[in-house]
Amino acid sequence: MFGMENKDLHKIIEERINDYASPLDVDVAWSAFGERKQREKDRRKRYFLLLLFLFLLFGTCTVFYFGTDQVTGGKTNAFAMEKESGITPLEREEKQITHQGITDSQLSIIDKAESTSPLTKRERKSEVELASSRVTELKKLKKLEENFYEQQAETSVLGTKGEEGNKEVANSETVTINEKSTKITKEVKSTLSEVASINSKTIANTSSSKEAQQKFIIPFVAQRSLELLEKRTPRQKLYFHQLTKPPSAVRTSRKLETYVLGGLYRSQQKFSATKSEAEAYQERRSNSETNLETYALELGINYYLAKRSFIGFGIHYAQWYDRLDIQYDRERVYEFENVVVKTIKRQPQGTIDEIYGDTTIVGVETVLAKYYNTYTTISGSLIFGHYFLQKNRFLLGLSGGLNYNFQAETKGKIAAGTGEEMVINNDNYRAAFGLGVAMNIHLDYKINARLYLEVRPGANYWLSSITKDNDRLQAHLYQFGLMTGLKYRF
Amino acid sequence: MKIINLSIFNKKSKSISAIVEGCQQNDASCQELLFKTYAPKLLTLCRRYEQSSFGAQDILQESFIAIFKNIKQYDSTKATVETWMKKIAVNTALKVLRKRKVRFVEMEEEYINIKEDVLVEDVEQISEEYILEVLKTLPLGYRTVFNLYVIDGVSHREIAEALSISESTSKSQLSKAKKMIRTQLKIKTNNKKSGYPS
Repeated sequence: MFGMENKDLHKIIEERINDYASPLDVDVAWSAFGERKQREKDRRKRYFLLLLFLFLLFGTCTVFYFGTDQVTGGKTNAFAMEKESGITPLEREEKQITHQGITDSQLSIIDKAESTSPLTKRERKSEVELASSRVTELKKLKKLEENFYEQQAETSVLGTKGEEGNKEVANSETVTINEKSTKITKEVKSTLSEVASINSKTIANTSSSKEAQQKFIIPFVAQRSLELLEKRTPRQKLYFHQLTKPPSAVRTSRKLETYVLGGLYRSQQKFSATKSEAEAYQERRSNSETNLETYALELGINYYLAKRSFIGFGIHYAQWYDRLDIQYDRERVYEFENVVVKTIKRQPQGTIDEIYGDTTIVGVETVLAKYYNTYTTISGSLIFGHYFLQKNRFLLGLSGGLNYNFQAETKGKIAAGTGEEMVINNDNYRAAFGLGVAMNIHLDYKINARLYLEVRPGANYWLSSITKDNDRLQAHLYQFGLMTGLKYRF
Repeated sequence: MKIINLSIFNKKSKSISAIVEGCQQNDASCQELLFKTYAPKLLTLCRRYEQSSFGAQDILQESFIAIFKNIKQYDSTKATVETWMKKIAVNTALKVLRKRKVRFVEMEEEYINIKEDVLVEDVEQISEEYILEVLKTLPLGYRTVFNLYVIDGVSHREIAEALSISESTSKSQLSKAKKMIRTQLKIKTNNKKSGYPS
């Protein structure tokens, strides 16, 4: 007997297999391919619609943010004015100050007056210099006042801590602050009156539009500020900032918040399949996996695009469990010519290790057992949200967006009645999530200016099947759950 | 050098090029013709990589989706349409395997270390279906490397890159795959000799 070399054997295998056409009903296969193409088309359409939705949502948020003039409460359209005049950022800032008290028609009157000024260049220069020095002085006062309010805010927080000792300190601080407040108010009043007087004299005497913007800002601001200074209560002091200049400390801070949430989800499955085995499979599984318990933890960051609208990025970790009673062939014994080959049958997952060759089954051991499955998933989420209701310390908002699962692991084991356990590898069975959509309700309680307690009921639907193996039913999860945790605003 | 059966092209060379041109213009009837002509052969390829028949058909469908999507890039001067389609099918199968994170496990020596000779004439009597079944019995890692190297003519370096493994792992997987195949074929040929139904 002559043995043959590996090379020859494998060459023969290659030749035999390479051009072999498997038996296939091409008409049926073509029809199935048509269905598959249609599914792909539908899937692409769904993704496109989602992207479109996100784009529109983002656009809406952007319009909401930029379209509303937060400083003036929407009374004037500062951006339209900028577009018309093509002014620099510095000029824009000045103009922002201007339009606290000036309407578009008033500005045009000022521009007209400027062109008919009877003053000489030297006179105009001296008036401008005088007004500029007053503007500098006023800015210093505003800074002083700003610091004062910050001080006051810190003290009021201290005063609400609840401890008696702190209250006493807060009270004594308040007396000092009140004195300071009176002093600053007087200085502000005096300067504003003076500036108003200078500007009323020069209102018609300037020639350049930049000078006009710098100077004619002041009388109107001063007028409005004086009115407010007369009326204001201690809490209204902040309005002075808002009228004269958007206080940067308020506008730029607390745009970011981070959150930690933990909670429970309950999941249901929606089955879909076109495979012929689908019905039988569904029947087999339908009584066993309708509910999956899920424990979840989520960390994330929200960025506020506007006062109440935010975009959020989160990392979501979840563990899922199901527990099934199953019957399976734990062991089958195959025999061939005195050679016994054993193989474990993993029937619960539907994957069977076949032994080929002409073997005979000489024994089967069937057992009743518990089948435990644990699925671990990590998802990223991108959501857009808006708080539409705020009452006292309570906030109510809605958010929606996408989840994308980028890590999944399945661990399973079968425990027979005897206490014997077998770890099974069912990678193909589960945990192949892709894209999902999420909708949440945000119920927040403001503990203090930075810390919020959040309760977040939510619902998720997985557009992608959780079942990796195409032989099986495609199962899409929809989940309802409750997460709770803390949010901290920077 | 691989042997490619050109019988289809000899008989239908004109019509095949016409079909391909039609497919390049998104003609549905040409797509159907191309599918029906090559699906059985490509299914054999898919069955080599995928154990379950449903999985193989799934890879076949996915391959044809990629084929129809990219057929405008097909250049008839570089390769025959069958070779090009097979290349796409192999890539699709590998993509599926990568998603599954193929593990290259070592088998127990006592199981694979059976050194028996197989006769050429014996092997020639075995059906292609049986050879496919034998390939299916191989662990996933062994089967993938064997398919890529022996049947699809991919070098160890390319296999290593495609599967993110070292070249030595690829070689060792191939060697063990060959041993296992010989063992299985030996069982079959012995059966035949002893009159055991196959």
